[in-house]
Amino acid sequence: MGTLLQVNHLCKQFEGNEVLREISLSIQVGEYVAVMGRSGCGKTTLLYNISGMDRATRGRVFFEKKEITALSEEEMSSIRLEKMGFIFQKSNLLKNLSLRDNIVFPGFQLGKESRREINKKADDLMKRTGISQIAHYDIRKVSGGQLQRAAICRAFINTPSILFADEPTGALNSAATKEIMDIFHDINQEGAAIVLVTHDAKVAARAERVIYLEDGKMKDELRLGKFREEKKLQREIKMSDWLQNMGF
Amino acid sequence: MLLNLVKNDFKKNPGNNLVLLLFMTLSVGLVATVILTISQLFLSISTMYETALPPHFLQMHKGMLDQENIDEFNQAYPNITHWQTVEMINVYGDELRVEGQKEFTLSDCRLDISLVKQNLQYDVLLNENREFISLKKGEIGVPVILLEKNPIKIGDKIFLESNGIKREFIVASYIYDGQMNSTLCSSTRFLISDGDFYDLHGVVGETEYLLETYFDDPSMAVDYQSVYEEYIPTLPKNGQAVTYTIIFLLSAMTDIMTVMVVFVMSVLLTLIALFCMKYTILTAMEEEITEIGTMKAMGLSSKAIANLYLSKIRILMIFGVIFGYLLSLIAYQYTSEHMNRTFGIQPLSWTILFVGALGSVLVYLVTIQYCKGILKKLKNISIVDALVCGKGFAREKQIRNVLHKSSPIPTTFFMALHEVRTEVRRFSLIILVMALVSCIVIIPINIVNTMETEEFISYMGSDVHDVFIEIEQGKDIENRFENLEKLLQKKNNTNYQFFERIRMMAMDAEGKRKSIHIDSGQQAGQGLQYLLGNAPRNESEIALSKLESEYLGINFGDSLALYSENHEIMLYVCGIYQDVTSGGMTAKTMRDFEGVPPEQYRFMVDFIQQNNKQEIIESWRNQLGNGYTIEQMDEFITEILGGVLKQLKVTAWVSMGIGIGLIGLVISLFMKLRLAGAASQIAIQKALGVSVKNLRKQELYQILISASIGVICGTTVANVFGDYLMSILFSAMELGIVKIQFFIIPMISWVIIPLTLLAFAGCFCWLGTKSIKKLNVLYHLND
Repeated sequence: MGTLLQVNHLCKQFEGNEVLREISLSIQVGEYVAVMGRSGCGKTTLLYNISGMDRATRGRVFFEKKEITALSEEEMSSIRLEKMGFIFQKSNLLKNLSLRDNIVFPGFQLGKESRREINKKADDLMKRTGISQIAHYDIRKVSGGQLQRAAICRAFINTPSILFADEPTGALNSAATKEIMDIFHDINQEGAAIVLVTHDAKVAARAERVIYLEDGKMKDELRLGKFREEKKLQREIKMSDWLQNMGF
Repeated sequence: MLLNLVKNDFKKNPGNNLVLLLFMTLSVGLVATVILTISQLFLSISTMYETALPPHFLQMHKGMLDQENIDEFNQAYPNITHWQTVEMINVYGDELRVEGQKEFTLSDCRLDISLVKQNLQYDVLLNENREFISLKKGEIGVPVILLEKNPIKIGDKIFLESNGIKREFIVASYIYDGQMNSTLCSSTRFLISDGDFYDLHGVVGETEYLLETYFDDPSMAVDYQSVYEEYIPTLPKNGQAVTYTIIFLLSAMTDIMTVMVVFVMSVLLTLIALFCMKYTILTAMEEEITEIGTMKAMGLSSKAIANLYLSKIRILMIFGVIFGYLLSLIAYQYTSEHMNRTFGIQPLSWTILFVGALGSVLVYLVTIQYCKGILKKLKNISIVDALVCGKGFAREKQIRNVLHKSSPIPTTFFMALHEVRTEVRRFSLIILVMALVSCIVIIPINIVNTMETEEFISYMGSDVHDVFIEIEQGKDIENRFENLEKLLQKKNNTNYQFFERIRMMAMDAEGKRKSIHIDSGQQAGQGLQYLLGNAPRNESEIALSKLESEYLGINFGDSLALYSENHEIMLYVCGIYQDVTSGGMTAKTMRDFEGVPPEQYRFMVDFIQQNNKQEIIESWRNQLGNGYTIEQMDEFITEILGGVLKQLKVTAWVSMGIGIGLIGLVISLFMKLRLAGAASQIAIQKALGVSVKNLRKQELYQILISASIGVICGTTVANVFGDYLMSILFSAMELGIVKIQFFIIPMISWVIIPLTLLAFAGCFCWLGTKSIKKLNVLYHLND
């Protein structure tokens, strides 16, 4: 496995406050990493800075060995569109498009594959996430879980090599959370790396590695290895103990 | 507290508030300008008329005159307050040579030139301060309407060379003539001293008389005219007869046209201002829906919340009214320029200023009332909808599942198209504004283009030809006719036709005999604009002008009885046409009325080959000498309509400027509000990796799509229905033109202007989308 994303001495300041301090980490191809920490510790800021959605104050970020911190906004947009997928706490779908149109939109925008292929891919993704029946629905007429599934389909329409997820289950109930996490697991199994920010220990316990942030610094990391359903409970206990040690 | 709320709102949205303020300023400004100009125009004319006292009825006459006969008739006629006979010495333009900075003759002057002496009390000629002018011997007063084409300065010398006599005059004053102060008239008067007048009288030129009559009420002139022309055949009537109304309308036409155009613009601009106001208020309420819900939850009534919004609008409006009114005082300087030049300087009176202020207040009241109507929507918002669902005023939209089927259309363009379709209510502002701006810009240009065409002459009672030559009545009219015909027959390069103008008695619908002008000739009535029927096809038919038909009460399809030496001739009225010549009262027939003396011959000449036209016309002038008016049709139009056209051209350019300014303002306002409202949607796309360039293109396409719809609608309305508006304007002036068809230059009116407006819309939009680059994705994603 090679390094997909390399972060060196990343710092971010907001109006004089240092939100991220000297963060260095690397994400391997196909790795599933969760980022945890208390509110305001800089989890979301880290996610946005390593995905190039925000500009770091200092430090360098390499994606597929290319320094993205040195790229122009247009170049960065193109990488985000083609190689990165994003899922947010709110589904953040475009309100004037149906579920299906929201899903195909990044594919059409990229234009690398034919529209027919993109539509076929969208059909597959919707089938896997169980939203085929409601594909033509207005986004205001479906549940939060269904919206989040559509957001996942959208994130994967261009087959990205990494998925950034910011509290993707934060607004969902436990049943919906489980379904979403299962989808994440499947996607990861297919080779996409995942960087997921969460408050939920159970969600984090699905990751191979958990990073704990405190006051903008990386305090510790926990390696859990590949997720297996039968070992779920042990992972969650281990996770819980570790978090307790971290003072979470 | 209210003031603080308003202050905060201004701090929060300075750009939007500034644009609204500008709109209000402009609409108040234009409305006030129209009111100031129109009030001042009527005041200016009436003040001038108070001193100048133009006649209520004027009969021009050449030839012998029996003053006793006139006196007898007028003494017997009731309600006449005064009458006088003014003598004029008619001279030809090439007999007057001006020596100043340039040296030139007035041979190009289309108007008949007369030398007159000052009258004592009635029909006096004034200076620019509307004061009685008294000239010394050797001095001359130049009509102010000639200055536009002829650079004559005070102190210049004018030489008169006629009939072997040579006289030198010094230009001592400009003349403001209450009666003949329009290029639409046929004559103009130069003032000379009494001494010079008596020296020249009977020695140079030809004497023409102005028989002027005044009544208790100017409207009595119409009845007087019928009696004058009908019952007393011996009364002099060898020339045009005009009433006070025509004198007034001819004088005011240029300014009325300008005011009409500004009026239409001000109405359209006020509409745009109201649309923008509606859009801004609704957008603000959408954005502040949670605050509105909270206020309602706290127990504030919808009326109290509406008052919060209204107080901001009131403050904006008060500033708008003040600035707009001040703007109108500046704009008035331009709109009144022609008026001051024609009617003398008329300072703005307090009454007029007050009337202008009242107009501004009226705009204020209309706007506030309109906003109150919009704010009534607050009543329909429920607290739950506002606080829980964040639902505002937007109607439930039908979202269609369309993007995935859009294979041939580029995604960015499709997204823009889809957005416009889904948010059509929002984009209706752009559609409406672009439609109105297209009208504001295209209609004045079409008016100018129509009036500049040779065909426009057909509305004025004349057919389109290269040249026309008039032989006015005089002792040797028949000789001059023969000379001209010989000359034209010699040239193989021309086709020509002619008609003679005669005066005959006709029986009106009520059985009264009235005197009418008839143009008789084989081609008479051809090529005119017919409202009903067509030109005469044989000698038993006659076509009447619109005003003549109304005057006689004889309509299309009726028979008209004419009287020649007590013989009755019945002619069938085969058509009603539009005409402004001779006060709009003419008739056309192919019949030759032998024995009726002609008042005028008019030759219409066309060149077979179009080269050397100018030289040929010049050679005719030299060969024919005096006594002929030779006019090239295009130059004639330029001269007769020059003043109106110049003013309209300025107005058309100003309209273009205002139109583009409006596009800039509305699109800036719209983009600001739209980018604020759609920020989260743009942020989502930005986060997904849609480039800033593509996002800006999406916004650009949205504006271009909606603007195109507006421009297409506006252009169609302006080009297809704009002539109705122009017809209404002309009809209102009662000049004899009631229906006009636009002459449209397709390349300009259908292509260049619409594309220019779209290009400006695109540019302003592109500038407005600059802020997308700075849009904080993180803030809006988590908002």
